[in-house]
Amino acid sequence: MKNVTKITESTNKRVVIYVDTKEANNIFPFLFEGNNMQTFLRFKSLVFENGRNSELYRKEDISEQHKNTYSIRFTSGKNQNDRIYCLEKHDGKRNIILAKLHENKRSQHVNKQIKSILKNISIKNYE
Amino acid sequence: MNNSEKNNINQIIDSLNAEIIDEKLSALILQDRFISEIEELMEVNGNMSRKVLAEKLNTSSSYITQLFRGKKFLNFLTLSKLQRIFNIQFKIEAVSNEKIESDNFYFEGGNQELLIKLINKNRKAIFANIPQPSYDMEINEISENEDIAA
Repeated sequence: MKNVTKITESTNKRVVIYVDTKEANNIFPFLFEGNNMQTFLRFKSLVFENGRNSELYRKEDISEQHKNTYSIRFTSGKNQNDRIYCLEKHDGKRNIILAKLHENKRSQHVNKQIKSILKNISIKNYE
Repeated sequence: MNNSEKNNINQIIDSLNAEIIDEKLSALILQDRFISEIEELMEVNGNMSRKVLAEKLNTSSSYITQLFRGKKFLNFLTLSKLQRIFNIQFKIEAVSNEKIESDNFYFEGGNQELLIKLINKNRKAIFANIPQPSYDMEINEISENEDIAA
């Protein structure tokens, strides 16, 4: 895939996690703050086993415009409401792209700013 | 990329893998397997809400959320109640780790330079927060001011 950097994949090669290369500057340092790496490694194990936990990784595609968007929820940090918004693409494999870090989310409500982020992720042409 | 930079990459990858054997994290990942089953059971039982589940467990919905978030740990009494509520049994199987290949982190080609920059920028925080592997490992110090060509 272009524009993305592969981070890891499951042993059975069916689930692959990438990061948007341009957003890596924000996402990698964030992952090393506080307990964020713990949350990320829980997320990794969860998706590798095709598990589900909506408090950890949740579908965000609130409309057709925001298709295939998800969020990793970081609830143990100082803000307790940080997100990494992701895009999933399926081509025989489950490809998960960490696309956009959003810190200091102020409420559970999906406001205009979040909708805009999700829309941008959804239409982004990762190849 | 010189040998020192490659060693630095290997160190951070080792550190990331070392995190996986952290006992609390292992416990949370184990709990997440139960949470995954519980969430699915809630869905197939008419999209049961957390409030309803909490009432059946004689607890609060915020406690359920804390379980899902990994802020509280499940206990066997709760698991037993869940079996009764959903009329199911959790099946237990012990599998040798030798049969499960570890999932290694790795970073591809040209983007290693970006990662090196990030590691150097955040190295104090990284090595302060992440448990080091238990085996001996040489650490090649890189000056904080050292420029690394992108």
